[in-house]
Amino acid sequence: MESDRPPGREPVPPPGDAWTALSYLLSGFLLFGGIGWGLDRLSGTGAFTLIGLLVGGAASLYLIYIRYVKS
Amino acid sequence: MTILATAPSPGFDAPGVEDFNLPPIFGDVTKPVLQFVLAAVLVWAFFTITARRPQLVPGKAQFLGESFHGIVRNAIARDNIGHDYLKYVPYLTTLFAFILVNNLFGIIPLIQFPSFSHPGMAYALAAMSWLIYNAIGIRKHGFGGYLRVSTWPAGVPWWVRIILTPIEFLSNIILRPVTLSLRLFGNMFAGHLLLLVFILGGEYMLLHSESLVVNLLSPFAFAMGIVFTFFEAFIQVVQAYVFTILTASYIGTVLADDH
Repeated sequence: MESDRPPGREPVPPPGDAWTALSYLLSGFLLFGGIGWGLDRLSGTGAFTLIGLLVGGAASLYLIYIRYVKS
Repeated sequence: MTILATAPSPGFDAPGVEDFNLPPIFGDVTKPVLQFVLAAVLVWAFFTITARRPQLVPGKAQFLGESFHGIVRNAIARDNIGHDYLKYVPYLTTLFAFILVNNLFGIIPLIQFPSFSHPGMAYALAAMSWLIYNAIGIRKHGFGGYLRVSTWPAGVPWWVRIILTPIEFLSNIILRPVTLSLRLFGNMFAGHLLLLVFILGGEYMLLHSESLVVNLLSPFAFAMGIVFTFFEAFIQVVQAYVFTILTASYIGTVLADDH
């Protein structure tokens, strides 16, 4: 039985992280872009989709920062 | 490039989605179904043979099996899951081997069809990984605790959570299996289509074109077909690896106490 990690090796970020970060980005755009699009459909305006996409993108980036950089 | 130049010529039927709908061999059984069965048998046989009568100094077969297992254990499971990784190594090893064999079917002569270019089985595997990581998370933290760990970012004001928690939920609980399966399916589908274009295009240029110049240019299409076959081999290994590493990574995130 060997130890968890060979001695002398610095812990590196797990390789799966890069791929999961992508899924956060996608989710932010989809969710808030989708909500904006829905509001546009209901109200007949055209600006909410754009606002939603921007808010969603910004929120995703912030979330990635919290999950992977800050912690 | 040679294909693009000749594409408008009438008569060349460009390969498309319909080329993936193979007729059933008997009943409802199609070629990909048989490939899944064959892959399962091959994986079972490989590990049964290589793990039979294990020696302290491994022979060739045992060395091969142990190397494969070792890659999954160290590079995939340990680096992504953390201390309790050993429990999950058997599932990850079989998952990697099964996807790898099915992907490589895409370039193995006489089979030459990547099983996952039909998305159904990719959905099934992603659903299994989804069930497994959710079950592990719920067992470790309880249902409410699990939801909290995976959708409740720590250390942010409450009004930011209103925006971030829905994104976390969508990303971690709903979209993960979707991206997992579509990535595998899309890569296998596109890769096979690419090979079809070059090989069938070359065949058309050589045998069905009226122009001698086009006939003589056909080796370039075949050469590109061969180049892309090697490229596909690389993609097939990478995609099997990515599917497994992401499953491990998801298990790792649900096991983590706090982010």
